[in-house]
Amino acid sequence: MLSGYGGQVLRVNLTDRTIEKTELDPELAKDYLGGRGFAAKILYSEVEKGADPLGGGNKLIVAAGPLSGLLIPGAGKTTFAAKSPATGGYADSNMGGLLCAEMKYAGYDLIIFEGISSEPAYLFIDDDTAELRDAKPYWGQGCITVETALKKELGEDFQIATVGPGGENLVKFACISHDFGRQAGRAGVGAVMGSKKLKAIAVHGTKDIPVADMEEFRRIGREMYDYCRASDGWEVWYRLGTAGVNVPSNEWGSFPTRNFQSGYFEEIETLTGEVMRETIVITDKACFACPCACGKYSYSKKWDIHVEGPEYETTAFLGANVAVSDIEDVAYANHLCDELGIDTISAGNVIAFAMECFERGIITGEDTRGLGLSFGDSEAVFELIEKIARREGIGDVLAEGVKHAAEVFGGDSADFAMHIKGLEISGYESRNAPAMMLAYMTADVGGHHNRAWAITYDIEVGRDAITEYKAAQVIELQHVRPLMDCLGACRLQWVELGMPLDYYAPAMKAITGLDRSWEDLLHISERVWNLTRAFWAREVEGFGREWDYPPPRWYTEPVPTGPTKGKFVAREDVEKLLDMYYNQRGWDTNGIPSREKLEELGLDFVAT
Amino acid sequence: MNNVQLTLVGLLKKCGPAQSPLSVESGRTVMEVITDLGLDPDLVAIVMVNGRQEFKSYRLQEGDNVKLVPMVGGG
Repeated sequence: MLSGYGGQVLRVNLTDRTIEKTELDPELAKDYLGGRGFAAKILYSEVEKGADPLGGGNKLIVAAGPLSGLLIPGAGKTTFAAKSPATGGYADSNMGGLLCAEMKYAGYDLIIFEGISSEPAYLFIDDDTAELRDAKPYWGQGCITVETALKKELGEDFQIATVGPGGENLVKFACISHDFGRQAGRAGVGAVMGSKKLKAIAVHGTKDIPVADMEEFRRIGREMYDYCRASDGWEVWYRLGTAGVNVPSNEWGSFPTRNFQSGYFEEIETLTGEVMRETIVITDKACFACPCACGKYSYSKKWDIHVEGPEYETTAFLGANVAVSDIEDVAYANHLCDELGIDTISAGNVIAFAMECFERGIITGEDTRGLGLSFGDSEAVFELIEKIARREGIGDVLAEGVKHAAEVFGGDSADFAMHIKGLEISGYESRNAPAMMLAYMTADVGGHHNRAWAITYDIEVGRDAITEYKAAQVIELQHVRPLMDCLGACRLQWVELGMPLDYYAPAMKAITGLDRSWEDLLHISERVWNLTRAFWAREVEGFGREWDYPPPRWYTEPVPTGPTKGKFVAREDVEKLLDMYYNQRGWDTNGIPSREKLEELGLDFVAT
Repeated sequence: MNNVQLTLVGLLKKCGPAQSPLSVESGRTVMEVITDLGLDPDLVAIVMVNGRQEFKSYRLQEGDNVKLVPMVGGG
């Protein structure tokens, strides 16, 4: 049995309701590690070219990594992946919590869902028992409600992932929810799960995970834990969580405000992590094996609701980006999204887009059935969230995402539809941060920050600079951060607590018994990055450079307010950034990996 | 009177004075102190005063305990 792995793959065909167990292929584990690496390889190899993302031919992959479920700080990241219904390209999205640990204790590194069930179903796993069960009683109910009910029915030890009405109604940014407020939120993995009529996954396991060198593993795991606890950043991160970034992001001019019209929200004083801590946070919440507990669990007296968060991204999108400055209103909007099962980032992006269209007269009360859409109107935000999740009225258009909404609304709205590759951009206004902009342009799921949070390099070497160094750092980050998603571990111990990356290769050696350097692991991450790019090139007709462009707002419209006032990245600089990036990656000028690069990375099977 | 204790955290230790914690004057804003120390304000991500997050416009008071926390490079 492979050290570090559960050892089995569960393949669930929802159409004919068969469940097959196979041994995990050691070559797959060696060449792709786990998590997103497994997902990318399986999607490329098994999903037929041109498959409908919401059809039976698409697959939903749930993957743990070799660190998942072991006592390494933050080793609780589960990857969900599919061909994206939002973009038509590659998608993976990961969540913290406890799901991947429980999967591995039941003996599974991978669950692959195929086909479509005729009736709502959920997958029940209790060690070697795996069966599809009736989910009709839960269909139509919210994520948190169903998780609570399944815990009551099956037992507290079961770990649950669910979709809500958003996933059932195929909202293109529906999420998958777990642990009462953790989500795989991006690129519509929840819509794929909903399209399969799969309401939930419930898993419980009691087995051991084999470890090659237990003594060395314990030593390294303990040392990593101690490093986190002793870190200078621990106290801050524990107190504020990701919402601690609200203030610096606003000071950098990066806090998306009024549909990214600006990066500076003048009412930040009521949206800080400190205000949140003192007014609504009731406790701290950690994922598996994490000594940091950056999750903040909150209660809003105003709305009488509980919610995990709001996180930085949610405060940005359901706060500043829609110009709502009451933290309790942000918390309520967060609660609605969590229960209905839609991504707060895309929801806040598309609602802000509708507000800007309304204020510019591109859409009117006729389009909204009388609902006024003005920035700062919390009630309108709440109503649109409901309408999107249930696809009612204008919500049916917005549920398709901002790219589609711009096509429907027309006018010049495409110029300020804030997406890349069809995925709504996440929480960093980047007109004075070219490295961050390049990171968004080239992220392999569309406009998302978590593949490379490169704004650090903009600040380090000068905000205006367009340099080869910045392109190189974006590429480096795009290998390091997604490597964590292959390992099944969180990156924040490194990013926020400064934990040296030097720990990971020795930890992997102790766990798996395979002697690989950090560079060896990065090489695998580069392989996965090129494979996801190849997936895009195969699935999206005409895919290339044009798909990496940011929205016109970012290269034509100077920032009107705040510390970055007057700044934007000129179109010729956008082209320069892409030239540098493609060249350094070994891709052609259209952004397609060269045959030499694919072969160097062991991707000979990829068609070009 | 230098009655405010200021600690540089993480990478900021390499950018500011070798000595940490430092004693600085009350009555000044955190931004003024950051500038006096020759630090790039954008590199100082989070300002903690007596365990609470404050803005850089915060005016230091006697006995305050201040931590300046950087954005972590490479994040």
